[in-house]
Order: sequence, then C-alpha cells, then structure tokens
Amino acid sequence: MNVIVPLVLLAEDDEDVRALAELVLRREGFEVRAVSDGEAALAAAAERTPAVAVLDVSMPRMDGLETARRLRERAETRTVPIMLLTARVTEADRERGRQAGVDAQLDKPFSPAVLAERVRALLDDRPNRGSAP
Amino acid sequence: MSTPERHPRTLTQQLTIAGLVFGLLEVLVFALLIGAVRSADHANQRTNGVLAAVQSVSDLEKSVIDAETGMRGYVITGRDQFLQPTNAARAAIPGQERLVRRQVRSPDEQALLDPLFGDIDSYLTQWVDHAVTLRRQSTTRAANLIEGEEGKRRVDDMRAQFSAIRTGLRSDAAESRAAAHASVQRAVVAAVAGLVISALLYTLYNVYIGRSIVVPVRRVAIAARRIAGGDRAARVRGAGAARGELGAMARSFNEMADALEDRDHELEAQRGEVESYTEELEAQRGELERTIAALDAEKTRVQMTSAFGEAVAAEAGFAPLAHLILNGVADAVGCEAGVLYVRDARRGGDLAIATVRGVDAASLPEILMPGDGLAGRSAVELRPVMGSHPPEAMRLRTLAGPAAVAHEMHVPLLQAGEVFGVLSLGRLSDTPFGQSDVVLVSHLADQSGVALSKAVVLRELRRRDTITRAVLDAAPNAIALLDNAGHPVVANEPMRELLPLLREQPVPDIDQEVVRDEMQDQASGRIFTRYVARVQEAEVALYGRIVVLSDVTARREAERMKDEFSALVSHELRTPLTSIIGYLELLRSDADAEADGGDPAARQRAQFLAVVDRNARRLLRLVGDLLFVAQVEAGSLSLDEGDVDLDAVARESVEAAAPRARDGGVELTLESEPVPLVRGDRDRLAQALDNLVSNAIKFTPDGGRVTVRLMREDDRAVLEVQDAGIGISQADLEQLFQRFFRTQRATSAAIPGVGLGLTIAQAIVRGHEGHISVQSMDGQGTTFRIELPLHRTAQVTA
Repeated sequence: MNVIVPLVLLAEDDEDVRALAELVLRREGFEVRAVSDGEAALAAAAERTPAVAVLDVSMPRMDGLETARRLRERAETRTVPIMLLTARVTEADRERGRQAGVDAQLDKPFSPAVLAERVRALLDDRPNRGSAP
Repeated sequence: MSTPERHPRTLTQQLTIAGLVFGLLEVLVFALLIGAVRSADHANQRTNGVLAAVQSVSDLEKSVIDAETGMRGYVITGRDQFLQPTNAARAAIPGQERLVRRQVRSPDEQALLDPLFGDIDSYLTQWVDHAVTLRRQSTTRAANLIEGEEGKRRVDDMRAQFSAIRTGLRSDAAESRAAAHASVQRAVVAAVAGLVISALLYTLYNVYIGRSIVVPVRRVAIAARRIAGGDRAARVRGAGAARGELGAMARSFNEMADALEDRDHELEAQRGEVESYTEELEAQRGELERTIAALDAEKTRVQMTSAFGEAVAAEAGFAPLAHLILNGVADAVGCEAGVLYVRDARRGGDLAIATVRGVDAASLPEILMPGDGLAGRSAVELRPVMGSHPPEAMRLRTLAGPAAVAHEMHVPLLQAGEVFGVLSLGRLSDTPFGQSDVVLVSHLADQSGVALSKAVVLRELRRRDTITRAVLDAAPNAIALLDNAGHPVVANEPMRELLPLLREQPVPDIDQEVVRDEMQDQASGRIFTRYVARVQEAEVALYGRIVVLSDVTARREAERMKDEFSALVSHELRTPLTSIIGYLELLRSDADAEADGGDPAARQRAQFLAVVDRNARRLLRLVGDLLFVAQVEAGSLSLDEGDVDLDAVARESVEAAAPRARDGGVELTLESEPVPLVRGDRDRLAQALDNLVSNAIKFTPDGGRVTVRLMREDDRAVLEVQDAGIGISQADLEQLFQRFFRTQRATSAAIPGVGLGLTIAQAIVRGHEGHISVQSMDGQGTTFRIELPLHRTAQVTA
C-alpha cells in the first residue's frame, strides 16, 4: 500500500523552535518542508502545495499573517489548512488571525504533543486534501 | 388860628432893640481899646527910633576910633595894611553922619550934632591925614606926633560929645517907654470894663429871652407831648392872656388840639370797623404765609428727591450706591447715625451690613435677623418702625466715640413685596421723627429700591462670573461655548490657543444632544477627544454648542509604546520558553519511559527534569501575569466572552490545585450549590479563582483547611475561598490588591510569589462588573469573596 505522506509547510524564524517542530512533526509521520520566513514559505508552497501550513506569526521579511493572506489568495493554496503559532495571546491578536483566514492558532510555548495532535486534526477535517503527487 | 393882635412892641422888635443896644456897647468898648493900643504903638515907635539913633551914634564913634587906631598902627609899623580900617572909616563916616542927623529928632540933641561933626572932620583932615603924611616923611616925627597930648585930647573931646548925645537920647527913650506903658494900662482898663459890661448885658438879655420866649414855648411843647401821648384834652395854659407871636402860637395850638380831639372821636368810631378788617386780613396773611412756606418746603423736597433719584440711578456699583443711599437719606432727615442692611447671597441671603454712617460697623452684629430688634421688626412687618430712648439709654459706638441715640427709624426696602434691605437711621438730637420724615424716608427708600436691587443682582452676577471663569480656566480641558454661527462666545484658558484649530476644523452642527469623537491637529499632530453638546436656553436666548477638547496625544503615545513593549516582551520571552518547554517534554517522555524500567539513575533524571519543567512553566506563568497587568493598565484587557459554568470552573480549579494542597498537607474542599450560567471569559475567571486558591494553599500551614464555595445571593453569583492561614494585618489589607505588593509575613515566611495574583484577580472581576473583597482576622485565616452579577448591563472591556 502506497501510503501518501502529507507535506507540512513549516515557517518559523527561530532556529530552535523550527528544529523542535520539525522533529515532532516528522516523528508524527509527516513530511516537513521547513523555512525561516514568509517569502520562503510562499516560494515553497508554489513549488509544492502542502497539505497543512504551520506559520509563525512574527517573522522577518513577511510575517505569518501576511503569508496566510497570500496563500488564501492563490488558487492552489486557497483551501490549505493553516495554523498560526503565536506568541501574542491577546484577544486582538487572535482576531487578527481570524481575519487573515487561518484555521487554527496555537499559543507559544506549545506542547510538542499538542502540536502534532492539532496538525493531525486539521488533516483529518479535510480527508480529501492530500498533497498533490 | 387866633386873629393877630396889635401891640406896641412885638417879640421881633424887642429882640432887634436888644441887639442894637448890645452892638453899640461893643463898638464903644472896642473904640476905647483901639485908641489905647494905637497910643501905645506910637510911644513904642518913638522909643525904637531913639534906640536906633543911639546905635547909629555908637557906630559913628566906632568909625572915628577905627580911623585913629589904623593911623596909629601905620605910624608904628609903616605898613599900608594898617591904613585899611582908617580908609574904610573915612569912607563910612559921611553916611553915618547923615543917618545920625536923620534919626536924632530931639532938638536938644540935634544942637549937639553940628559941633561934633565939625570936630570929627577937623580931626580927620588935620590930625589923621597929617600923621599919615608925616609918617611917610619921617617915622620918628610921626611917632612923636602921635605920642603927643594933642591927638589924645582931640579924641577924648569927641568921646565926651558922643556920650552926651547918647545920654540925651536914652532919656528920650525912657520917656517914650513910659508913655507906651500908660497907653497899655488904659487899654487893659477899657477891655476889662467892656467885658464886664457885656457879660452883665448878656445875662440880662438871657433872662429876658427866657421869660418871654422859652416859658411859653415850653408850655406848648408840654401840651404837644401830652397830646402825642394820647391826652387829647391837654391845652396850653394862659394862652388867652399871652401876647405876641407866642401867644398866637399857643392859641393856634389849642385850636388845633380842639380839632384833633374832634377828629379823634370820629376816628374812634371808624377804628372799630378798621380793626375787624385788619383781623380778617391778618388771618388771610397767616394762611398765605403758611401756604408759601409749605410750597417752599415741597419745592425743596422735590428738588432734593429728584437729585437723589438721579444720583442713585447714575450709580451702578454696589458699595458706592449703598453709601450714596444711606448718606442721602440720613442727610435728608438730619440723622447722624445709620446702617444699611442688604440681602447678601454670599451670606446665604441674610440681611448683612452693606454700609454704615457715623457708627463703628464692628460694634454691630454682621447679620440682621428678621424680628430681631426694631430693625428686624420692620423687616418682618414690612413697614417703618420707630423708637425713642431716654437720654443716654441707647449708646452707640461711633467713629467719634460713644454717642447716645435719642430717636431711631427703620424702613424696609422692598422689591416686589419682598424685603431685600433695611435702612436704619438714628438721631442724636432730641427731635422726634415726624410724619413728614417717615414719608420722606419711605419715598427715598422706594426710589433706592430698584437701583439697589439691580446693584445686588449685578454684584452677584459678577461674583458668579468670576467663579465660573476661574473654574473654567483651571480645568485641564479646553472648553468653549460657540454660538450658532460657530463663533466662540466663551473660551477658557486652555481653549484660547486652540481657537485656530476650531476655525480650521469647524465643530459639526449636530442634531443629537451629545457627540463624542476624535480630531487631530494636522499641524502639530496632537490628538484630541472632542465632546460636543447642544446648548439651548430659550429663556436667556442662548443657542449654540459647547465644545470640550481633551488632549490625549500623550496617552495615545503611551498606549502605543506599551502595546509595542508588550508584544516585544511577549515574543522575546515566549520564543525561548517554547524551545525549553518543548524539548523538555520530549526529554521527559523518554526519561519517564526509562524510569519505568526501574533504573534509579533514570528515575532521578526524570525527577530533575520535572523540576526544570515546573520552573519553566512558573516562568511562563509569570510572563503571562506581567503581560496581563500591562494590558490592564493600558486599558486594553480583552475578554473572550461566553456563557460560563462557574461550578465547572470551581471544580477544575480545585482539582488542579489538589496536588499542591496534598503536598502542603492542606485539606481542600469544594462546597457548591446550583448557580445559573454567567456571561464572561471562562479562562480569565478560572485564572482569578486559581490565583485565590493558590494563595490560600500557600498561606495555610500544614494540617490546615481551605474551602472553596460557590453560591447564589440574589442576582449575584458568589465564589468564596476561605483559608485557615496566618491572616492579614489591617494595614496590609488596604494595599493588598496593589501590584507587586507582598505582605511582611509572606516575605518573611519565604512564601513564593511576585505580588501579582490578587491584582490580576481584581482586574478580571472588575472586567466582569463584579466585586472582589477580603475579610481577615489576624491569625484566624482569610476569606476572599468574588461577586459576579448574573445579568450584566453591558459588555464591558476593562
């Protein structure tokens, strides 16, 4: 059985956090494309449409919110589930995330187990959205 | 008049005769006197002539002697200057001889002159000239000549002749003098005799005049005086027998007296008539005078009151007006002392002293209470009240010292039937106030009323205006009242510099009552909150908008910086914590698995990692608390509202704290009763309760007890956390909810914490329109109580 491994696009500027998330997600069985800013994330998504995008909010060059909006604008990535990693936990921050059209928000610091769980949940909500071959 | 009576001698004739006799006598006496004087004068003249002749003879003798002496001098000395007297004598002698010949009148002496003159001539020509001539020829001979007897004899002879002449002349003079003396004697006798005779005659004349004139005249005068004195029956006595003009006059007088008596009777009859007329006229005149006096007084009064009215109307200032009124009225009715009381808004509308006259204001009560004394009575009864005092009974302290008021009058000042002042007047002199005084004072008081009440209102307006302006200017906000055209009617101090901004960005013409918005000054970048409200006061025709601008630039800037700081801290602290906590979790799951294998080293590693994890989370919680407090202070606390089941919240809180309670040996229990769902942020409410429970456990000693209660009280849900801890002192209670505040006991007992838990709990509860309170007994534990309304009025963000 040819198991399709879902591709998770991970954008995080902090190297340690990025390595942690990548490790957890790989352990969970995902294929991970890790980048360090929004522009790189957009380029990676154009290269290969991910099954899920996990975006840090605060990033150089292009932040997570803007990246999410751009992904929503593109036809190929319009329906990709997006999760924001946010260190800002005020209600206003959450509202900004919703405005940008993200599907989930996870507060930093996060539990690795919770991260894996939430990403899995996003994929399960959209069983038909596999990564393109 | 009596008919003239013929008589041989009238009074005039008698007087004329007497005057003639008297004049003749006087002429005779004077003639005698003049003759005697003239005779004396003649004798005197003769004496003088003889004496002048004696002098001339002596002069001639002196000239002869001079000629002789000069000649002798020349002969002895030979110097010509000695001849000068000789020559002068010789020149003078002929003149002198002529004078002597003229002056000597007596024939005896005239006979002696010719021989003398011959001797003089021969002496001069034969002796003197000879001696001079001889001296020129021979000094010696000449000297001998003058030493001889001849010269001397000649001179002596001449001297004897001179002496004889003088003797004759002197005897002549004596004779003349005797004659003069006799004449003077005669004159004196004549004068004395004349004087005596004249005096005698004058006396006789006076006696006569007295008898014939003065007596009859006096009789007439006495009768006239008696008639003038009212005795019409008086007559001159003996008039019929009297003669001459005086008799006629006496008779005429008597006739006149008769006629006068007749007229008197007639007049007497008329007088009764006239007297009745006179009385009537007198009465009319009195009436007229009273009328004129009354008119005069009325005119003066009208002039005075009109002048007073004008002066009062022209004065707007309260103090000068009060002064003017009191003094004007007091002057009008002659009062030395006075007080004017006027209602004063500054004294709660009481009647206060506005001004005084002649009285020391400090000696009077400042406020006149209605009904208090005569003045107070006039204020209650609305009419003038007067009083009098026995001398010295009513003493006043005046500016000039103590004085006694004899009479006082108090008149209320009315405006629309209300007392707004009392005019009190005092008179020192003992002259009671009359009805006219009362009328006049009442009249003047009425005149003053309108002006004074206006001045009172004006003073009150000024006072309020000053207060309003001071309050407005002291306000930190810029406040302006705009008219309908948008022009400022009033602008306070902060607004004045913002008026250009108001012109630049006009205030909108609003329909609704109030508008609140923001505006920014493009030039300076300052941000203002703007409050606009309509003002519509038809009664005072005030239409427009009130504008209040508050500069919030600094506040906005602070908020912005706080937000930025919060975001920064949040990101910069949470990011490293993410790595720590994430990797810890991975490590711990591995370590726990190893520890399960029974390896003691692995078990210890797992314990160590648990400590690291607990402290990392504590750090995380602290970061969250700090951010929360920052948000509350920035006013940007946001609540994620929903329906909250407080029972579930309480239960979870107790469950979460159970391990810590167990570790501390504290018995933690929950007592819950059914409570409806409340509207709120579940996580925040849980956070608040967690903080209280956490505190309670921390401060309760081993073996103690902590009870969490949920209950309903009226329309409130109540959460209580009761501990049996060390308690909180009264002083600490007051500061308990301040951030970073820690009690002395918490610090000394080394109980962990940073002093933010209660601050956060309070902010959350307040954000839910709730109330948090604390009760504590020293050493007997503490109870925190959260009350939340079941029905919130509005969604509020703290």
